[in-house]
This record gives sequence, structure tokens and C-alpha cells, in this order.
Amino acid sequence: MSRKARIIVHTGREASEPPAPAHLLLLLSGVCALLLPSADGLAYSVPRTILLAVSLCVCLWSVARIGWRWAVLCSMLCAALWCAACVLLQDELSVQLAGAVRLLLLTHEDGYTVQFDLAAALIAVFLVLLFFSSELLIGSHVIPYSITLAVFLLGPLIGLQPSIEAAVLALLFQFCYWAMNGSGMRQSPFDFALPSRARLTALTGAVMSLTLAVVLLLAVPLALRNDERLYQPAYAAEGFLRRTVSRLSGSDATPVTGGNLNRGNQYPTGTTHLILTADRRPTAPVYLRGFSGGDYGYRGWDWSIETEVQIFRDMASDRLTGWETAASEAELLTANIYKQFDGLYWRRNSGSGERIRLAVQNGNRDFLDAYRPYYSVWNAERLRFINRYMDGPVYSFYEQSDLSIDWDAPGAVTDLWIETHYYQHCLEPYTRVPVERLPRLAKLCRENPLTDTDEITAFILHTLQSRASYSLTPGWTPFNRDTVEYFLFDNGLGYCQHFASAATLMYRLYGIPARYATGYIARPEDFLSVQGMLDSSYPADPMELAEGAQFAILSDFSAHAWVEIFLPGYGWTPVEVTPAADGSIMPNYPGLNLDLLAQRLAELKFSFPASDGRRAPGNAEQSLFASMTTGMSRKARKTVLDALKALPLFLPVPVVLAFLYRRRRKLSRYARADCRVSFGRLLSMTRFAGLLTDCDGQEADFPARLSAAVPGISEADAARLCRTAEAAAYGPGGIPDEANGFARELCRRAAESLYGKLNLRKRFLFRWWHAYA
Amino acid sequence: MTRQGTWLLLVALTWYLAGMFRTLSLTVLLLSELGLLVIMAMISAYFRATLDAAFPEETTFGEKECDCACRLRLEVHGRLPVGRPRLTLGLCYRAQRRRSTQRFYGGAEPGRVTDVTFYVRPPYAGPLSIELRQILTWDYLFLFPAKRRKREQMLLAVLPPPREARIHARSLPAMSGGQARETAPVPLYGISPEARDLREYRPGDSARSIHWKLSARTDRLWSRDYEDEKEERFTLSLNLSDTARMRPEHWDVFYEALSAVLLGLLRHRRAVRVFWRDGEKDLQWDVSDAQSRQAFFLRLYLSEPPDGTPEPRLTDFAFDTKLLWTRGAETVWQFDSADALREIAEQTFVI
Repeated sequence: MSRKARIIVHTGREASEPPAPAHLLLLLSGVCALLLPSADGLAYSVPRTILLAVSLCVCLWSVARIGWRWAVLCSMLCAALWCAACVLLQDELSVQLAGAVRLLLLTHEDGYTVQFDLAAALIAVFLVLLFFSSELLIGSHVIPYSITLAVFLLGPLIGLQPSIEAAVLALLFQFCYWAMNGSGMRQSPFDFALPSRARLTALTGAVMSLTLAVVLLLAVPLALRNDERLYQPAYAAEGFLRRTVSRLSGSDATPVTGGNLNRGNQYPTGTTHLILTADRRPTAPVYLRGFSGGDYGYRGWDWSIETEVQIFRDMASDRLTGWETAASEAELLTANIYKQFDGLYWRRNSGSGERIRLAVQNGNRDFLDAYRPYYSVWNAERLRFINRYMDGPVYSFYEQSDLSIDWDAPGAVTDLWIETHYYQHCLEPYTRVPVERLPRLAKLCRENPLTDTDEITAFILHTLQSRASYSLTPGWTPFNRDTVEYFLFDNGLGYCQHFASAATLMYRLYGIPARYATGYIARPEDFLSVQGMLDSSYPADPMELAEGAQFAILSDFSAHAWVEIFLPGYGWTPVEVTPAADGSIMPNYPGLNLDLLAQRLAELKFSFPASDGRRAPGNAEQSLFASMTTGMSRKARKTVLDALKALPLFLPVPVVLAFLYRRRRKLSRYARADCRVSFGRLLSMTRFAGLLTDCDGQEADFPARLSAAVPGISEADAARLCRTAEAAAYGPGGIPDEANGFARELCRRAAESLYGKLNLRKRFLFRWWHAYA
Repeated sequence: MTRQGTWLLLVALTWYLAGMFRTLSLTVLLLSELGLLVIMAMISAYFRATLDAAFPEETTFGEKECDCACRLRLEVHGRLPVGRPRLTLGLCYRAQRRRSTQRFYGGAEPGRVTDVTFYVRPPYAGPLSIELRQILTWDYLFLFPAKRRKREQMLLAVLPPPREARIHARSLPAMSGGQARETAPVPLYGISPEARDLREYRPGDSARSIHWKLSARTDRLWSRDYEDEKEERFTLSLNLSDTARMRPEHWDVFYEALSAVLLGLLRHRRAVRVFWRDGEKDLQWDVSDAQSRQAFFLRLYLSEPPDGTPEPRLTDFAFDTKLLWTRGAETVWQFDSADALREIAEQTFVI
């Protein structure tokens, strides 16, 4: 008995078809898609690099058409040469690569360029070899697909913004190759040996390309017109996740303070942070400062306390100059100056306005941070109107409009000395800017030299209004970019942190001492009376509240960042630079000439304040292009502009496609042609080849001459063709299919025979223009 | 689900990064991915409805342990090419409990009938049933599979290899025409005397042998066996009872031994007439050459096990599923099921 055995089934498929022209096109699109998105600062010739990649691709593909073994050998040879080039040129290569890494990952300095020609060429060769080996030799689309996807998805993290044309090429490569590989182009023991696998593969690729073209035709305008709307679901999802996480972890109750500059979006939760109780409603926004920034770094602003201490030490040393004193006395004097500086402006106010008493209670009652209004002093005793459950410091402060400093009052000499010396010593630390990190901002200020504070403020507002819009979801800043530079010159979107940081740096660049401040802003409308509180979720017993008291509950929605500039005579003064909901910015500080500000802004072609919340367009935008791209975001307009610039590079593609379509139509027409057309075609191709130019096909000796001129045709066949053509032309009935087929076959043989006799130029015309073969 | 899940994850990641970096090219990529997702789902359903597959032949012949070519016809009724549908084939012998499943990938162009060939190397002789069980179509990006159950069947009649048993005719008297015959044929039970000389027409029978009158009466063609033909053939009755527990490997030995005996007997007579019982019917078949041998085995493979115990027949030889070869009451050879092939190759059988 036979032993138990398996039934073996196989398809008998052994050989793989040679690669089709479609494979070459897709391979080129994949490589070019990766070579197109170049980073700013990488100096290499894109056309030359692409030409190198295209040439290598064509060579390898041509070799694969001859035979797969040759293709493997050729790839190995190229890989060996590539390795040798890397070793021989390693010094130059390592310098270029190190420069590129620095450029892409570590910094993004303006004007910093890296010569990248050699590295780009080697990367191009590497990509071609990798893609060719994976797609055509191994038959796996995974690696090339992953690489293109990774470049496109991770590129933005380091500031690479692939263009639309690169995206189109990448899509073509990714999906069409996927579909073609899926149709079983490469050898697989589980694929049936189809009679026309290559044709099926090409057909599948064509259908997929067409589908993709239709999808892209819809996707590109949709993306250009509705990019902001399309991003909203991503923000909503991220906001939901972050709010949920912060609520679960309890971090939502953490006070918003510190100088860290957020590189992403802001998602306030609405958790109560501060409860304010005032004895009367303020008439202007109250800025409760919790943090003042000193030096500007990669992560944001350092706390200014060390700078402040140094300033007061310097002031103490000024006062002690020439005295022989102990260090302990200097420290004592420093503390004393600080104490006097704390309430200096409150003490020296001689205005008629009444002070406001304000109790600041932290929402979770365990905040250590103090949020203090400007021009205020701390009241040590609890106030009568304060609810007995309330805790936290109480401040007396004057509103800015009620502030009138009288430096001539008795006893003001010391305060004046402090104020003057503080200003002298704060000039240096609070005008310090890391210019190397902010080259474009520094250049902008350098090109617009200004000295007057109001003019500087006008210019800053103009810059912010013209270059940026307010949004809590401006997206992420790439890791290698400075947040302020990216906000102002690339993204154009940001919120208070970005506006305040940019303005602070600009004030500093103009030599005005400025600090970045964070805390909370309590607007007049935030304050409610007792009755108002009854309707709210205020936790205290309203019966114990004093009559006339005003209350405000501040959540993280009221967290804010602003600029404070040092105005001689008024000290650190908050300046609002974040636009309101209508897009207008209303800065106000003592001595600001609003008329002058409005005039300056008008000169700069900007409305101030904007009545409808929209900015008037500048002259540069008054163009046909601007009207065509109305409704698009700034980035979308830039992308369209880039795409239009790159359009000439892609113009040959439709030309080549049209050319190929024409040839295909001709061939398909000839494939159905009757014997008369075939006879005419035969005559035409012999004449093109320079043979039988004196014949019109009606000569008696034509068959003999045709047979002699074209080796592939016998005289009998030629005579039969002549007879058939004559019968078709002058005969009574139709021509049988068999005769037409014979004529076509004879024509094909003649074309093959004649093709070998032609020179290169005529061969090209014979095959591609006249489509004889 | 993994592919759709991965794709959706990719879409979500693209969406997130496009939003976070406000990258227009990623937005285009995202919209394209979403668009393709919808289109591919539709294409998958479309392929399911438009692709069909069937066996163009109900029966085909092959030889044991040789590649047997079987054809499968793919047809697309729609206007789009179907890239790589997966076809699940189930293969099993009649007596086999477990079905062997094979999956292959095809492809078909629109408006064309695509015949693909696959090769089966059967380990045993016997009827091998090939069933097209399922067509699984995907869209071009292999995201959405769409199954379609099929119950298309074909029979691969796997013939035993043409091994011939060496038979030594010990006392066969010389017959007219150079043929030898030992004993006169015994009347057959179960067949009427008239029917014993008549049989249904088979291709290849001469027109001279057709019994026209009976054919006209019964509306079927009947051939007459002439006496000289009867003189030139052996008769062999097969006992196919008690086969319920036989496995494909047992059947394989039976078919191998039967084939060898038939081919060996054909050395001594022009034909061998084989009698056996198919369910409730009695069947007979003349084996004379390769073609009739092929047809005989096909008919044998299609036979049902006999109902009850068959009536004994008086034939020259008898052969049963226990591999016992007898001539009348005399045992010619009892094949060993484990060693039958060696016996056929080495043994000389004396009749």
C-alpha cells in the first residue's frame, strides 16, 4: 500500500515578466518625490540630482528588460561603487552630513547654508538602488512605501514642508505601485500563470492612476479652500484628549504661570483658578502678574528674579560707592531698595482716582504663587467686606487711568533715585536678545530703525497684525525652529504667549527694556455683583458678603501673557499686544498718543482699530493671484504659488502622455485595418525607409521588387497582397477577414524587417512617431 | 480588519500631523486617503459582483504522481480589471475525510475570458474531486476583501499508471484468429439471453453492429456483440462490496492492481469485458485499448457502492476489493495490499 501522501497543486508559473514602462515611471515618481522637498539652507542642485537619479533608474530598468539576472548584477555593481564613493569621499561627505543634521535637527539659522551636492547625489543613488531592488528585484513595496510615508509624515516635525507636486508624485508611487505589485507582477508560486499578466498589471496601474487623478482633482481644491476646516477635527480630538488627561490627573487646577513658551496648541479646561473680590468694579482690565521673564531661550523665558536681584545689588553698590562697608550691609541695602521699589508707584500716585481693594484667592486654596496687580501694595489686614471663608492676599491698587505720579512731592527724592537707577541698570539685562536665534526678527527691526516709543509700538502692532492672526490652535512648532520666528514668519498663527514673546523681543531689539509677563487678566465684565454671584457657582455664602462687593471667577480661559515695558516715571507697565476677537489690538500705557498710533498704522496701510475685524489688504496682495486665491489661508496661497512656479517642470509629462496616446491610437487603428489600409501602410513605410520610392504599387513587377527590397516578404506573399488590395479596391464584394489578417501580418513582418535597416534617428521616428512597429 | 485598521490609523495620523503642522501636502494626502478608502470599498463590492469563475470541463483525466493540468475560467462582467482575486480550491478523494485546501491568485481583464491552468499531482489513483469553494476579491489596495461562496466542481479522474502484470497463460487453447481461449464463457446471471448479446452503443462501434430494430423501438442505440468478438475477450467481474472503510490509499492499490491485471489480460485477448454493480444497476464495459481503459476507469470512479450482496456471475475471472484475483474457484493471486506494486512489477501470474 502506498504511504499517505499530499496532493500537490501548483500553477506552473516559472518566469517573471520583464518590467513594464509603467514601472519605470512609478519608480521615477517615487524617487523624485523624495528628492523634491529640500530644506532651506541645503545648497544642492535639485535638477542635477534628479537627472542623476532618473538616469540611473532608466539604466537599471533597461537592464532589467534584458534580463533579471543582469539587473541583479548591475545593482550589485552600483551598490559596490556607491560604497566605494562613500569611503573615498568620506571626509567631505561627513562634513556635509553633519551640517545637514545641524541644520535640520539642531537649529534653523537664517543664512546658514550647507553645501550638499555630494551628499545629495549619494542619497539619490542610494534611493534609486533601494527602490529598484525592493520594487523590481524583491517585489516588496513595504520599504519604499514606508520611506516615502515617513518623509512626508515626519518631515514637518523638522520643518520640511513637502510641496503639492511632491505629494502627487508620492501618492502616484505609493498607491499605483501598490496596486501593480498586488496584481502579481513578480513571480509567486501562488499566482496563476495568466496569459497576459503584464497587460493586466499595466491595466491595473492605469485604472489606479486614473482613480488617483480623479481623487486628486477633487482633493487639491478642497484642501486649498478648506484647509482650516479640515484641521478642526484634529484639534478637537487633541483638545478632548488633553482636557481629559489634565482633568483626570488634576493638572487642570495647576496655575498658569512660568515662562515656558508653548510649542503646540492651547486647550483651556475652564477649571476655576482664581476668585477675586473687589470693593468696586474696575473700569479697565486688571493684569494679575505671576511671572516676569528675563532671558529668552529655546524653551521660552527664564524667571527674572535673578536678574532683578542683580539689578538691586548693582543699585546698592552704586549707593555705597566710595564707602567701606561689609557685604552684609550691602545685602541689607539691597533688600531695603527692593522693599521701597515694591510700592513706589502706589506711594507716589497723586491722582484723584480712588484705589481699589482686591482680594485674590486661589481656586484650590493651596497656590503658593502670588498674582498681583500693577501699581499695588499688599494690605496686611483682612478687609471688612471679605467673606470669612476667603483666604489669600488683599491688594490695594490704582488703575492706570487714575495714575498720576508726582515726583516733586516731599520725600520723593529717594524714590526718584531708586527709579532712575533701576532704569539705568535694567537697560542691559532687559534689552538682551539672542540675535543668532532670531535672525529674521533682528533683520526686520534693523531694516526699520525707530527711536520713539509710540512709533516702535505702532510698528510692533503693524508687524503683528500683518503677519499673524490669533488662534488657540496654531499647531506645532517644528523642533528645530524658534517658536517666535516660526510664529511670525512661517505659521502666522498664535495666541497670547506668541504675540507677547514676539513683542517683547522687538521692544528689546529697539532698546526698550521689556519683559514677558504671564498671569491672569480680569476684565471689567468678569466682575459680578452679589446678585450676579447668586446665579453663579460661587462657593461662598452670599449672606455674608458685603454690599457693593464685586466678584470674579477666573479660570484658565483668563490666563494671559503680555508685555511689560519699563517706562521712566511709571516703571513696569503692561502693554497689550494680543488681538481681540475682532482682530484689533488696543495697547494702552501712560503717555501713549493714540492719535499718533492710529496715524502711524494708517500710514502702514492698516486699519486701527479694525471695525469689521478684517485687515485691509496691502498693495502687494492686490493682484490677480490674490483674487484667485481669496478665501485660502496664507500657507495655502504660498503652496499654490510654489506649485505654479514648479509647473514648467511638469509640462513635459502631459506632452509625453499625449504622444504615447497618439501612438497607441495609431497602433490600435492598424490592428483593425483592412487590407487596403495595410497595403498603403506598407508602401508608406518602404518609402520612409528610402526603398521603392518610385513605385505606387500598381506596377507589374511590384511584388518582385517588394520581395527584393524587404527580406521578410516572399514574392508570392507580395503578389497575394497586391491581388487582395486590388480586389478590395475594385472588386464587387467585401474582403474576408482572413485576407485582412494576412495583410496585417505581412505589414508587421515588413516593419520588423525594415526597422533593422534604419539608422537611430529614423528608427525613433519609425517606431514612435509613425508607429509602424 | 488589520489592513483597514492600519489604514484608518494612517489616516488619523496624517490628519493629526496635517492639522498640527498645517501642511497642505499632508492635507492633500489625507483627502486622497479618505477618498481612496471610499472608492476602494466600492470597487471591492463591484469586483465581488462582476468576477466569476468556473471549471470549463466537468471531468478531466490525469495520471497518478504526474502533473495533471486542470483549467479554470475567470470572467469579468464589469469594465474594470480584477487585479488579484484569491481562489480557494478544495481537493479530496471520494473516500477521504479531510479536504485539502489550496489558495491561488488569479487576475482577469474586463470583457475577456481568461483561462488559467493549474497542475495537480495526485498521490493516488481514483476520483479526485476539485471544488472551487470561494472567490475572494480585493480592491486595488487590498483593503476590503469581499467573499463569494462557490460550489463549482470538477472531477479529476486519476488513472493508475499503465503498469502491466506479466501473465503466463498455462493451458489456453489456440483460438481462431491466433487468439487463445481456455474455457467457454458461462451464461451470465442477471442478464437476459437477448441482452447478453446486446449492449448500448458506444462510440467506436461499427454501424454494422447496431441493432436498428431494437434501437428504433427503445429510442436508444443498441449494439450487437458478434460471436467472433465474444470469442476474443475475457470477462472479469468486479466485486465492489464491503468498501465502506476503504481509504484513498486502499483504493489506489485496488485500482493499480486492477489496471495491471486488465493490461496483462489484454496481452492475451483483444478485449476484457468487465462486469460490476453500480448501486442497484449492473454495468459492463469493454476494455480494449488506452481510450476504453480511460473511459472504463472514469465510469468505475463514478459508480456507487453496490446495494446489498451482488449476485454471483460466471465470468472468466473475478477481482475484488480485497485484492483477490480468482479464476472460477481457483485463486490466481492474492495481492498484498502493502506490497502490491512490487508484486506487479516482479511476479509472473499464471492463468
